[in-house]
Amino acid sequence: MKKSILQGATKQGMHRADSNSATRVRPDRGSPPSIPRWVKVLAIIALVLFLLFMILRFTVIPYIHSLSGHTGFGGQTPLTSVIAYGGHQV
Amino acid sequence: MNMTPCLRKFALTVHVIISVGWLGAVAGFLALAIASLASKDIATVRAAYPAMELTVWWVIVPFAFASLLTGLVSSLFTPWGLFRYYWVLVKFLINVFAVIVLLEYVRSLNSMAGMTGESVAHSSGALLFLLVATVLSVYKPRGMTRYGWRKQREQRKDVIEDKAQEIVHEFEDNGVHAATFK
Repeated sequence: MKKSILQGATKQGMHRADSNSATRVRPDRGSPPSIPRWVKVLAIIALVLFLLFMILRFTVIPYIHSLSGHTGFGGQTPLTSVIAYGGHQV
Repeated sequence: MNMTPCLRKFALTVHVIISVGWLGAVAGFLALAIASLASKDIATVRAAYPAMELTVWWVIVPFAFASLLTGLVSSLFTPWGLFRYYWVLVKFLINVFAVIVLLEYVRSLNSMAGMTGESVAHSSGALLFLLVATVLSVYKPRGMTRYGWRKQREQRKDVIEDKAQEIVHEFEDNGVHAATFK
């Protein structure tokens, strides 16, 4: 009995909501939200940074290493390399 | 399952402390990496490398995992959820990505790669990502995911049904029957 009253009330409410939505007062209320602009901007920035990183990693950095002959920039051995190899120049 | 407000605040405090600690440790690491790369003083470079290694193993790696864990606790056991709001989801993705890159870097730390300009590049990138995550946490920009929207609708429907049931009970207690409204 209680359940049928409740179901009836809910159905009536839903019907009213449907008839309200037919008036299109707030058309977006029933549809899922779209992706916010800040998420799109952040995604584009992340994609650009990732592509830049990949380009640097696979093209520019190996090229610089090959130019300097594994001795760091400008042909000089970085001190970190000297220390890592026990004080011997590599 | 949601935490009590007191527990929620405690979990959030722990998460903020650990995340800010991670950010600070990365900034310190960046300073050491730049010093070791640019300095001409051999003593500075000699001192920087063990400091970098210690910072990575004893501060950055534990804090990264702890930040991920506390972030999961703070989101999953509160009404924010993990997949309901874009800002929470983006923060989670940043955290996971940062941990993966950190583990990759740690693997290369024993080789030369860990001591060259890659340290500066890695820590600069990490700093940028962590700053974005911090800004997101503070501003909490709007935006609900489809999943969050669906969940919210379900919850609202439940609340309306509960209220309707309460009203029906109240009418029945006062001797008013549903037939009166028909």
